[in-house]
Amino acid sequence: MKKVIAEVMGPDPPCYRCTAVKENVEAVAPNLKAEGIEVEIKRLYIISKEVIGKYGLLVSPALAVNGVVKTMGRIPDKKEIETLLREAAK
Amino acid sequence: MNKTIYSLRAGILLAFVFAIIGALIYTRIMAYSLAPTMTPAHFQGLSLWQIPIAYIIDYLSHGWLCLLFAFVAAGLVYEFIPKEVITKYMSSSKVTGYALGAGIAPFFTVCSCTMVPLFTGILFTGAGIGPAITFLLMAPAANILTVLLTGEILSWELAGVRIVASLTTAIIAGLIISKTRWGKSVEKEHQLTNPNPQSTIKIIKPPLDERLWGALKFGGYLAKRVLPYFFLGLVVVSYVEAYLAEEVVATYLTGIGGILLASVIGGPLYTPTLVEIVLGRGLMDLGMSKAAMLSWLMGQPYDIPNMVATSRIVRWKVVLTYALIAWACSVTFGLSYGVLIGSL
Repeated sequence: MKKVIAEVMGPDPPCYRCTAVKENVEAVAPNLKAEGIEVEIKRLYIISKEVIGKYGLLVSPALAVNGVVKTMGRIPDKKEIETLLREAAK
Repeated sequence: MNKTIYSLRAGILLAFVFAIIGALIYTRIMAYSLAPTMTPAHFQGLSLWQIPIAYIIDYLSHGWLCLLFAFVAAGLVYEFIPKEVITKYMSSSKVTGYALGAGIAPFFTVCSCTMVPLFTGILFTGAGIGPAITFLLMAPAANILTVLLTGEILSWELAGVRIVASLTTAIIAGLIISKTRWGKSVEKEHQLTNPNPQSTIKIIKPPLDERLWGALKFGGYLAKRVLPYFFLGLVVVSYVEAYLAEEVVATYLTGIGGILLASVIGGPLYTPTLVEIVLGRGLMDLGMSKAAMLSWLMGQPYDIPNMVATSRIVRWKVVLTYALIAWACSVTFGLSYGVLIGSL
């Protein structure tokens, strides 16, 4: 079982757009699990010192896979997220 | 096969975007007004429930293209502006910080969910409190939606003056606050000793058709969020136009007193839904002076939801300082604009 960490970063209270990103990640997770890739989803606060210390200034919503920011400021669709996660698992 | 579908989708979306831009340019050439044309006299003889309906129909028959264009443009700009630029250069130097703070504001603030994160991000990553405040004050006054609608509904002259005035205000406020003791202490408290960006950011660009589609969807989302309030605003405006006596507006919203009053009520009234622009149009039809209108529009930076969100991060002293500076500038610019155009 391979493990991939997906971090969804947005403001708190969550805005519509970051919730949409998180939902898309959640939707593809079961498919990937069937292939032997476990996705750990984290929801992080975009203006916490933890996030800014690690990634710097981001445009919300941002999605990082295995510690690398892949998208920001837009909602990637399910297909795109699935590709991203699958590549990260390789 | 996939390639054909891709170019087809991209082609259709591009055609749609250019059709809207073309239509807008056409109305410009033909000097066709996109602003509402009803005046207070038109409302006489209409019953209570007919007033808002008549006004909204009048508004939509002219303004739909302008609204459509505004939302499409907002979506496109937000999608296609290179977001890596700010994250890369923000903390490089003070001057770049101020320039970027003011420069990016128009493009990133159509959605309130980006505003507070960017504000704190600027603060944390080392550009400091000055550029952060500049960004915050520039944001509501100069975003794409506001500028387009101010231009179309009020006047392009006012829209231009408003941008210049807001830019000056935002930079002055940023500079002053970065010099104050409480501003410095907030900056020190929040600055990260060792921000380590870039190495961990590898942005992926999706194909053009998906980006265009994403941009239009975002425009649609903005429309869904803003339009209900916008129409509610139109209903209120129709009653204001129908029932508010011109003498009242002439007495209270012209001259120096008008500027002072407009600058005070403009702020709390501000909602991120562009109602203030429509309401402003109504009041101008009733005789509000252009100078007072400028103060009214500039009252925005110290709107209440904005203040609440930022006060959690920078504490009330900083918020109070920028609110005062913004108010003082709104009065100053209102007065000088009035003197300049020769009618207070």
